[in-house]
Amino acid sequence: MEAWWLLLVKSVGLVLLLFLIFAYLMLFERKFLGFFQLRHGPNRTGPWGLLQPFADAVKLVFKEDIIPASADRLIYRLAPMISLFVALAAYVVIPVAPSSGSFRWGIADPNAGLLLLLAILSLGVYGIALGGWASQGKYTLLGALRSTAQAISYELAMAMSLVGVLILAGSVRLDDIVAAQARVPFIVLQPVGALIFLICIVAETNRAPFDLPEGETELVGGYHTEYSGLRFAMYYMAEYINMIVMASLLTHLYLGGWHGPLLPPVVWFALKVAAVLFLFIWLRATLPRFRYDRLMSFGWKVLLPLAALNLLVTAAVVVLA
Amino acid sequence: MAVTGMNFTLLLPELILVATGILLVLLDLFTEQKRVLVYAGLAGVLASLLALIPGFGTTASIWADMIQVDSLAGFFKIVFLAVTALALLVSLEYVERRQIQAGEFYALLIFATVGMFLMASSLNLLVIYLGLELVAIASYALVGLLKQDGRSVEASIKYLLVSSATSAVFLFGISLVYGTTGSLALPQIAQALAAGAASQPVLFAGMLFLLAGLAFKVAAFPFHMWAPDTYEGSPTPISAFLITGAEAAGFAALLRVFLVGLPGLADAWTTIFAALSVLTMTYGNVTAISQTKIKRLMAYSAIAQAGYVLVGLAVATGQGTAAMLYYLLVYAFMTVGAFAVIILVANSGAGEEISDFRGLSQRSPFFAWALVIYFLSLIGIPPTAGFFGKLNLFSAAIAADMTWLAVVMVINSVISAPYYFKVIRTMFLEEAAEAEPVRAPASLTWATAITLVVTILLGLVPDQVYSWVRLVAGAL
Amino acid sequence: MVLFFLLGSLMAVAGASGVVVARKPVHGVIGMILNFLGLALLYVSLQAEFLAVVQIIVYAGAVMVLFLFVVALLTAHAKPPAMGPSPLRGQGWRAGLVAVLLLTALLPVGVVVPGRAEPWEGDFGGVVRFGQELLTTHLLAFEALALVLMVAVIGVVILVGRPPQRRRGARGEGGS
Repeated sequence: MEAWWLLLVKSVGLVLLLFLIFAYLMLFERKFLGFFQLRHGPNRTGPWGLLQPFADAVKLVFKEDIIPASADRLIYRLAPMISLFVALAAYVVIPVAPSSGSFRWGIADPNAGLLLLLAILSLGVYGIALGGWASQGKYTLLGALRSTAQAISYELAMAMSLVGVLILAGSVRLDDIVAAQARVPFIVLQPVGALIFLICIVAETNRAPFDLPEGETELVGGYHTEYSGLRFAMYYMAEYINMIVMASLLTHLYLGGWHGPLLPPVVWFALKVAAVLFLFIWLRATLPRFRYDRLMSFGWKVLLPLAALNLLVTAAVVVLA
Repeated sequence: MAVTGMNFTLLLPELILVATGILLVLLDLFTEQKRVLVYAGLAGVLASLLALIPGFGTTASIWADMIQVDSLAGFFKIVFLAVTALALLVSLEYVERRQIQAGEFYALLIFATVGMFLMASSLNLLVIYLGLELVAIASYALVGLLKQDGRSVEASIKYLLVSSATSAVFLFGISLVYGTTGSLALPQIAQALAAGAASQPVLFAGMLFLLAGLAFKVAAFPFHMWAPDTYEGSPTPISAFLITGAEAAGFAALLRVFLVGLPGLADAWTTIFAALSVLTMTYGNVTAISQTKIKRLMAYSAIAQAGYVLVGLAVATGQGTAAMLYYLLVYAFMTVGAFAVIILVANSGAGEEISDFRGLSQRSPFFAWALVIYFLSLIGIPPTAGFFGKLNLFSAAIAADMTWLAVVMVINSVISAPYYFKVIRTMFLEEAAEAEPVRAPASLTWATAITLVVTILLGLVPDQVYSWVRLVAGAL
Repeated sequence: MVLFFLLGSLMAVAGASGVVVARKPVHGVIGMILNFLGLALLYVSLQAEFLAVVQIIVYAGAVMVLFLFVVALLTAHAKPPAMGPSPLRGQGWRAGLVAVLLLTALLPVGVVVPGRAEPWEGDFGGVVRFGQELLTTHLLAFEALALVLMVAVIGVVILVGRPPQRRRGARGEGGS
């Protein structure tokens, strides 16, 4: 057990770091989307638009905080906090570098690490569902219900594709899982599982092409239509931090975590996460949005059986080999 | 690491039933001839019955002591299989007429039987609970299958709510017992009791919860309120199945839990069971008198009969257990038989009022007389099987110095006579609105004939069966 | 561990009272979630760490989401249902009386019976041990549970599914 002040410093540092990464992730997303569409993206605030996130932050903070008259005030206020809290809490159990030596990078290292992470992530849907309901609007409710259904459906396939990795690593501690990939990253051994996992995390984070809960052409803005100002910003942050969490998870589970030649482990980890995040943006720029019924039937009728099959084959190979 | 006692041979009856249930669901997709499903189900039941043979006479604890194979389990399994087979037979026509989804209906029936198997053949509270839940969950769906009928849906909801609440009570009892004794296995619990855990008030509370949870399942008096509505609203074959099979399973669990697991507290629970027994039979019989619907009448009659059976637990002797088993066996056959006649009348287009039985003696003499015999047996008039069933309970009560209980039983039997005779009078002395004979399908005739033969046979040669039952009770 | 216990029991009790007191169904659901999280903490204080995590994933993360889903759909307007004169008048007092009796009966559990608070040695509630127990000693119960769930699924499908003849009609000429 570490000293409580060290834990506190680490926690505050982590939160600040995540906020910073979020801010620039958003900027880079807009930049890259611009490049993909042959435009410039934000380039007025600061050199190369680097101060844009701060401009956005100032704008959102000074916006009027609107609560619809018919809204359930308590839950309306609570919902974005749940979303943001869950997203931040998830990163507590993700290590960013090996914890050998005097200094531990991660904050918590529970034995049931990955499971705990899944447990925390599974709570994230409440922020969306409650926010959509509390706003008392048709579009928000529809958006919330869509996203709930989507999250539950894809969580199943995601968890099932994970089990393949767990069988190979023989542990649910993220440290052990990464250590097991010292020679070969699991994406080589589990290509199908990795693909399913990638699809599922895109769906879980409500990103394009699975961004139906906030499909602005059909639902105005989805579950957060009524939100403004700081509360809206919380949802936004939660979404992007969730992306970072999921990208880190993908890195740890399938891409070999911090293993890599020459460069120090932290750098390798950051590079891999950045690559995955770029993939997210690339997907958004390239693919059109799914239709809702197709999304559901794809999740239940294709991904879930495929993940189950992957699990069976993996288990059989491990037992027989 | 391997499981100790992975014995597939002795588990075969359960495995066959599970396979049959799954097969029925699949078969349903490929055939328009729903009768095939009944035959397949009957074949499965028969196969399961045959698979019981290797386990006869042996006493074994298999699958890490989760399953107990002994003669008591064997006895109850035979009763359950008989009830299931008869329920399949009497459902055949009913399912076709009411356009119930046949495959799932029969499959759930079989799965519920598996649950009863688990309840009767385990000495582990966890597995007993799982069996209970399997029966309950299959029953919720079965009870509510007449989706167009509001009463069926109401019955299902009521059953679901009450049954889940009582499952929770039962589970709470398990947790208290586990907390004080440190084990879920009934023999170990008995050991802990003998070693001095019996004096703990917490354990007493746990016992009360277990008792209440199981008393709900057998519809004993203060816990009976779901029974009349559920038995009235559910499809008639399911009423028969639940009243006989599920109740017998409840009694099997009661026997296991209290005689094997909690003998150390016998002083307390025999008193409670005696009180429950008196209240249950009196309430059931008195309320049954004023009923005008045949299924409600049978439901209250079932409550009353549960009261009689509880006498066996109140005396807590080997003789009492044997009398209970004998009565449950008899009761299963005569009740399913009576329901077969009710189904026949309902299928012929009439309703389920007692007045719909008018003139049945002319429209279908065989079934009318069969019903007379079932009812005489339910009252306990010699030489029917019911008479010997009651006689055994009666003498068990006297042998255990509980003569007052025996007297209450006799008084109750007298009270019960009028409402059965009311139906008989309606059948024989009142004229039918339409006099054309009732067409009886072969399946119902078979079911009635079989139950009739067993009811009479058990009345004619009770001694042989009783000595077997004594043997079974001794093995507990 | 005492801290976990205090926090967990406080959350569980607060959540449970919330479910009873809440007038809006959605608030009741939130109370229930709080209750489950408290239970998970209690499991942690009992060293059953795997059980705690599963409690969150399954109950808080999946079951209650479905609850919320249904409740939110049915009560799209946040107004609490109109409370007319209750058809169950007087039952509240009786239920309260029973609850008080029950609690007094259970009081000895906490007061009279001495608590056993010494921690268990070994990986009692860890994932590995839990899984081994589940698939060896409790294998049969595990499989029975699988059967129970399958039966529940079958039951739900036939109870809420459309009857076959109507489905055939709706499928039109595409049907077989």
